[in-house]
Amino acid sequence: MAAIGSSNIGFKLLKKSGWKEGTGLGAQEQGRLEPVETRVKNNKRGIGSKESKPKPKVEDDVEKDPQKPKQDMQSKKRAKLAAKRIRKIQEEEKRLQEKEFEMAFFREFWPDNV
Amino acid sequence: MGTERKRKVSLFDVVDETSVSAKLGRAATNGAAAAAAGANPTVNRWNGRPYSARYFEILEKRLTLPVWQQKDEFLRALRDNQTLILVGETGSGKTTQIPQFVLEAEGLGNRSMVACTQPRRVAAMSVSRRVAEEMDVTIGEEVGYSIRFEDCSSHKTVLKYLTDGMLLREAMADPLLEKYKVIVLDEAHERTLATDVLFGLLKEVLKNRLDLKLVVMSATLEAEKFQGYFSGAPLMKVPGRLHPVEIFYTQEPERDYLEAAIRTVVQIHMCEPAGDILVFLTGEEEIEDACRKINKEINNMGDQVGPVKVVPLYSTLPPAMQQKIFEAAPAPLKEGGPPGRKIVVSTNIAETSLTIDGIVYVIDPGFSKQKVYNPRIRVESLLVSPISKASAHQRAGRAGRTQPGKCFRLYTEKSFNEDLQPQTYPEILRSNLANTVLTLKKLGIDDLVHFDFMDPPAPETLMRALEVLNYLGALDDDGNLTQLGEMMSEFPLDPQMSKMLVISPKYNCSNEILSISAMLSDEDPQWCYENFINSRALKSADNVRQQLVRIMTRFNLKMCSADFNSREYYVNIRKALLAGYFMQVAHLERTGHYLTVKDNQVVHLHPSNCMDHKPEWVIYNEYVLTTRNFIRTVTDIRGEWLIDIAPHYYDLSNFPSCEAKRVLERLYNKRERERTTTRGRS
Repeated sequence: MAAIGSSNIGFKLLKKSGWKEGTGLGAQEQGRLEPVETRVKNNKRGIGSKESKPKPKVEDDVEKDPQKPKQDMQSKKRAKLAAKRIRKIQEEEKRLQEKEFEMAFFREFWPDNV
Repeated sequence: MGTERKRKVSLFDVVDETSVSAKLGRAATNGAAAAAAGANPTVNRWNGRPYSARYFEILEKRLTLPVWQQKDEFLRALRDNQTLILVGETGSGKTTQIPQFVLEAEGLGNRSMVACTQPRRVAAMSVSRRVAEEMDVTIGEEVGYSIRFEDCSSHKTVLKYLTDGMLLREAMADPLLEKYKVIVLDEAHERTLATDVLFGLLKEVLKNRLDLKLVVMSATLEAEKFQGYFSGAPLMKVPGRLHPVEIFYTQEPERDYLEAAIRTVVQIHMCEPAGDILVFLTGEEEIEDACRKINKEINNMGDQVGPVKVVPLYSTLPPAMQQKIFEAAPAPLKEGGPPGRKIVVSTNIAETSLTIDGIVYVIDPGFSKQKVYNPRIRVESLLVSPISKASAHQRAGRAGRTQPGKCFRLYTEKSFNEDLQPQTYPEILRSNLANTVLTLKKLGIDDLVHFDFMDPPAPETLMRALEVLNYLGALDDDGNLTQLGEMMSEFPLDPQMSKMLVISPKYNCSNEILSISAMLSDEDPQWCYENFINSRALKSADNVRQQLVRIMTRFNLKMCSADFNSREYYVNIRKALLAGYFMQVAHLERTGHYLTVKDNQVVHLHPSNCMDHKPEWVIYNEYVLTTRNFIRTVTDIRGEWLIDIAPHYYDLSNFPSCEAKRVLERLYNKRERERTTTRGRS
């Protein structure tokens, strides 16, 4: 996901209260610039255990790997419950996810392109 | 998991029993003198009644707590400083004893009030009960507590335990917190959202009130950071009461931590001397699964090994089941046979909130469910994440409560050093701050940008909060609090919900919206998760409702309902819901799945929904990030209402291109045609 743009009312309000683009918050403007990364873990791999196929690191890595949920014990039950409803849309979703992944990938490496 | 594990020296202090008893004599004398602070040692200074036998019985036990050895030192430091940082491991007795020491401080007088904050409601309640017993007074009189929706204190109260969130609310009405002479911030290392805001606030208040004193209490790890933040306030250390814990790491990373955890349980049961086991896992489903597998594995081993009692522990477990963690380990099957063992499989509620005696072995796979917030997709969710070094330390400590113990970390020492971050991110960096910003505005803090946060949040998190409050009408376009915002800030609820309540009389359904809000607030899963409480058992939604009614009445908001049989009845309620939650809308695309409006995230109706069809438009209360993105607690709404109720949000000139936009365009055009026809006719 892209950062919040300058046309956003929240962006404008923060600027109005004295924030300068590229600086952090806090008494010395020392605060972090980027939000804490969000990662969805959908397997039981232990800490430090490498993925079998290393993927490029992507920010906000949500639902980027359509193969993994299938092996996931936790999702098995849920998947069963939802199976009937989702079968029809799964193909479409996969396509969307791949596209989303690709977008995120490009954003990461060529942020100006998106 | 390799069977050969790497040994590591203990991280914990050992309490030398002889030194404790040597100092005990001294402490006891101090204690007796303190008890006699009034004229007569047999009369309770607080209520003038003679002390009960129970008082002396408890006093004897209190005197053995490590913190008593430093009572004089503490009182001197308190006298000489405005701010004081006190570091003590679990088991030092600081939470119950320090506020009582403060009451004895000279110059405090008999009627000055002391506040002690707790991050958790359950702690505020149970600790205050314990302290009332220790002081031999009735709970709710001299010692009380205050938590959201429940105030158990009176004009007589001199010591009040309250959640950090409640102290923040009190500051809204009393900005300099003038009713308190001393404020104790306990469990500061947990860095809850409210504690972090209180840090910044109290730093200001202390400058304006030289008679106010602040004691910050924390577990060891972040103490120096606190010292830097509070401009070099003195630091005092209290030893904990922990036995040495040996740490073992795996030689290789684990491919499957759940499987490894189960294997380790079995291994301990076969090879290690008596002592109960605590396993940390991430959630209900995983824990139940592990319990089944452990039982199966051990049953398969027959009577070669001792009997086991496998006990799950997580917040949504019914109270009767929760009590099982306190039951004793089973006896050996036959006399002299291998010992029985209790095996507790728990979420991280057993990490800090809850102490289970008898635990000697801890298994730590290194994960927990943590709250995260991503302002870019506006989602706050609980996600399985690696724990921090500080957490790992805390977990290991759980093995050393009753005797020397062992902690098995299911990761390598290299991973511990390189992959785990030193501290868990403070909650302020992982939360939606809309409510916090509303509170800060109400507190009169206008320069949010330079507010002295210990860890300032990312600018985008604050942007999102300002945006939400502006769209809800709580802040105007200059960022000033509006009249509506003033009202909203008085409700101890999310801004969306407060807005819906304030607006509900307009839709003639405030009675119904009050009930819905009370129900939704009572079932706070995150809170339950952290507090290991079944909320149904704790407090009825009815009490919450009454509190909300009181706030409504204060603002002259009327209680009203439409005729139950009228067609409007449910329509009104749904419209009022939308008036608060118009930023949490999803649209059903032609492809058959939902996209969140504006953010275009693919979401699915949570299987728990009770609708018989898929409505074109829904509002949702909760967005759940898992392997699939779910929206939970959804309500069917109509597209027309979006442009009627929230046209400023559904302004299409500022809208990403998508199917929902095209639908809304048609709806706007339809409205326009209707208007022209009406005009034409008249």
